[in-house]
Amino acid sequence: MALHPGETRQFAGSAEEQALAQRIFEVMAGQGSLNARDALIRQSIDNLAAFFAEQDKSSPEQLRPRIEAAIAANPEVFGREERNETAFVLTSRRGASTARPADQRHTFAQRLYEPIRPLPVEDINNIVTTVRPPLTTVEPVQISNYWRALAGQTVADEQLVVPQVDEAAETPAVAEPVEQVAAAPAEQAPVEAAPTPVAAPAKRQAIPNTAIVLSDGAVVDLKESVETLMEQYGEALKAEVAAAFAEDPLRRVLSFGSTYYVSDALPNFGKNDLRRIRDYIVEQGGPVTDVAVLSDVYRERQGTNSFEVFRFGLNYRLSREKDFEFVGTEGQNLWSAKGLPAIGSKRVKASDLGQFYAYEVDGYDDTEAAGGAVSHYLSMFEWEYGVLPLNQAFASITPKPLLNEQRTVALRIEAPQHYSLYNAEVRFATPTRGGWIWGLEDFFHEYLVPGTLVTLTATEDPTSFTIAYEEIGGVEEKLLHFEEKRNRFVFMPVTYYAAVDEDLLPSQRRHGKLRNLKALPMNDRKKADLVIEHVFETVGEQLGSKDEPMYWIQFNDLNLAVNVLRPMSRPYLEHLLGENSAYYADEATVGAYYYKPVPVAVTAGEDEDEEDLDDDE
Amino acid sequence: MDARNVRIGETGLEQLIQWLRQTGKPQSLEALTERYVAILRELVQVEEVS
Repeated sequence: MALHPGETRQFAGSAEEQALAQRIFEVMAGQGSLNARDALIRQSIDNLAAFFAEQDKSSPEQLRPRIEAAIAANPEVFGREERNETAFVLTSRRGASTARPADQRHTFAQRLYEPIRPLPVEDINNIVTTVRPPLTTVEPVQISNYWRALAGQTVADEQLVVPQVDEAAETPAVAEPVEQVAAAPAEQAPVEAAPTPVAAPAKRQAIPNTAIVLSDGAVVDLKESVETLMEQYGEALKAEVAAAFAEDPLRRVLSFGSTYYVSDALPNFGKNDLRRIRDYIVEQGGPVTDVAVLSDVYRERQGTNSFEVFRFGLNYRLSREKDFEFVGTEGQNLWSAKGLPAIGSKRVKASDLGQFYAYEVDGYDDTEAAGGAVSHYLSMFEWEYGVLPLNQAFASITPKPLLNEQRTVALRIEAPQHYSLYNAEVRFATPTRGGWIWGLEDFFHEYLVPGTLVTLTATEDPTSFTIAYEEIGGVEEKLLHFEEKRNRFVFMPVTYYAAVDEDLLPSQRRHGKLRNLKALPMNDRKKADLVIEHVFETVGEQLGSKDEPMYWIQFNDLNLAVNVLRPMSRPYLEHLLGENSAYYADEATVGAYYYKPVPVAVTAGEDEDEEDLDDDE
Repeated sequence: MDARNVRIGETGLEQLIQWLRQTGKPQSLEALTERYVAILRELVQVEEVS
């Protein structure tokens, strides 16, 4: 039935193995009688043993090793594979152990992108569809290299020869082909004689016919082992594979973070699913893991066959939805949803904080990467709004983003001294704005004062941290306080129980002039020069006259006062003082600065107005 | 196959996708790349031998 008329199949092995192989083949060919001749037929060895045992009146245990021996003796006819600890025999009606590879040379899908008689392309826009796909997120329109070439756009070109680069910069894999060229037989000569036109340099180098050229020009000789190639060109090769999937017009493979899977095998999540997931997250009151969603909403358990695929599908789908935000990190897929309470202070906008902390990305961060724990003195501003800077030190212990467009990671910060837990989040820096950690407003206000040294410590869980400080007996002091209703700073009596650096404590005893600070609007606080001038004028000593004022202040006092109004690192403050000629160092006193405002030209008209006012008075 | 005819990211991609499907679970970029290199080596060297 499986063989064509006149065909006979010969099996190898002992007579018994040949006979058994013949029986196995007949049974499996019968099972797949409706299959194509090349299609693989699978049957478990257990089933075959049970079947033959019933026929032969023997036990499956005795037959199993004989079946194994029969298929091992005929590898061309039978294949063997294991799935979930079950051994399967593979064959086809043709009597081959492997399926014939699918002919993909000219598929229907390919013809859609590369027609035999394409229409003339005047403008690339003509072939980009303007029809909005029925998805909430618009997928990028992928265009085949064929169309790009027609439209005159550059496409990655296949290069038979490559320009020779600086020898010192060449990798060992490139050096090898050079030697081969030197001793090359005549068959490679034509390549050198008539090179395919590529980049300009005249000095060219042929590559062996076992080497491929990557997009960055690197020549990879496939004669090397996979391990060696991955070691030498791993990153470049990974980039090529990632780019191939990203540019695949059919989007056959999808990615989430650093994992990939085929799109047509993913589970479908409809609108009802998304609504259920969102309701679940909102009900939990904070970000939840993908495992929790699968477990509680879909009753999917870890360890089952479909779990990882289901998990990937969920993560991929949620990442395409605007109502969900990924707030996790590698190994901890946390999801937040629209409707959850916002983390962080409502009294200061994220955009303002990003601009305040821009000095971190401008190179004025004076901290270094730390291992496991970071200690930091709280400034008045940080205490007031419950924020910490995402400087190099904090960034080294906090989680890194998993997705390219990810802007935040949710943290759980525990204060073991008070058995309290806080939902916080890391806001990542962008090229123009700094990053920060926020969500600690309640903790700071309840237990700490400005000037306290807090220590943030990482735990085994990448999104869980502990925060601690040194406790002391109660100290009574009048400390600076921002009176929100009257929008002004006042000193208020406070009893605190945290060890502080006296120089950084905004107490009335040492820094009484701080009450003169105006609670400038946030937009004004973004102008660093304006803040420094205001601090000089209100906290500094006036040494000049009324007509020609001149202010003097110690750097530490200036730094403390500036950090009441906005965060600013010492290097950034020093930079601002150094770049403006209105500020200059006091040569007689180390660490002190003068500020001499530039006289403002007064016009004649204004003089007259002032005189008029005086007259009226 | 002559390696000079290999278009990285196109040649052997179908086999890589087939392999990914057969594994039955998502794979890391590292694992995919290793497999892709193995496929390319097979394509280049197998045909050279025959």
